[in-house]
Amino acid sequence: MIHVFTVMGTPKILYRLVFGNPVMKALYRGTFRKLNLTHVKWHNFTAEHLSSAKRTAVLNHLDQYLK
Amino acid sequence: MNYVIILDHPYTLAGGHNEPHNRSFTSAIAQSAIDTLTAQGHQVDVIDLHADHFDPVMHADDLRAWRTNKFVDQQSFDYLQRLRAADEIIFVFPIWWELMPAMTKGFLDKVLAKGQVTRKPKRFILEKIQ
Repeated sequence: MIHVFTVMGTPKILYRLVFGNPVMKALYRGTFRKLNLTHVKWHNFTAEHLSSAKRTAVLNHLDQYLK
Repeated sequence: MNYVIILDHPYTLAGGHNEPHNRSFTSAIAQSAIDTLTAQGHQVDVIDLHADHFDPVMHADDLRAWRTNKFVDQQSFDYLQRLRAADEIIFVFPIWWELMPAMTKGFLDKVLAKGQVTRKPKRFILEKIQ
């Protein structure tokens, strides 16, 4: 399994639907899948718009992404 | 299990402790992942690209060796050995202008050298990750 954690300012829905999720196209379709590495998970965080408490909550519950 | 975490942020892992003027949410995620996995009893190998002063540029000698020969850059060779020992790989990086920063791109370009990671007829030799 390959996990990809990214942090960006752009809202995720905009990044996926308007920009077309370029980073995962490059990583998954463009790199890992060509090397037969098909088990890839993407976890994105838009931390700019989160309060300090919510950021801490994200960091304290990272285990849910690492299953 | 053996995890390899590849962190790409100029503040390095030291930026993950919420100190003013030296804090990065990317580094904090890497630090939190290390703490979580270690607490679960896993082995964690950290590749901190900026702290290691990784050279992401594909030089002429690197490219000449990329398809058929051994690594010219010994650091890239070391990284690939560590990836081969991993059961799971975790990339952590920010998105700048919609894409990964140059360190991560250079890591992929140089470490996943075609002559090292592909074999015919089976196409890839990081079996543990699949």
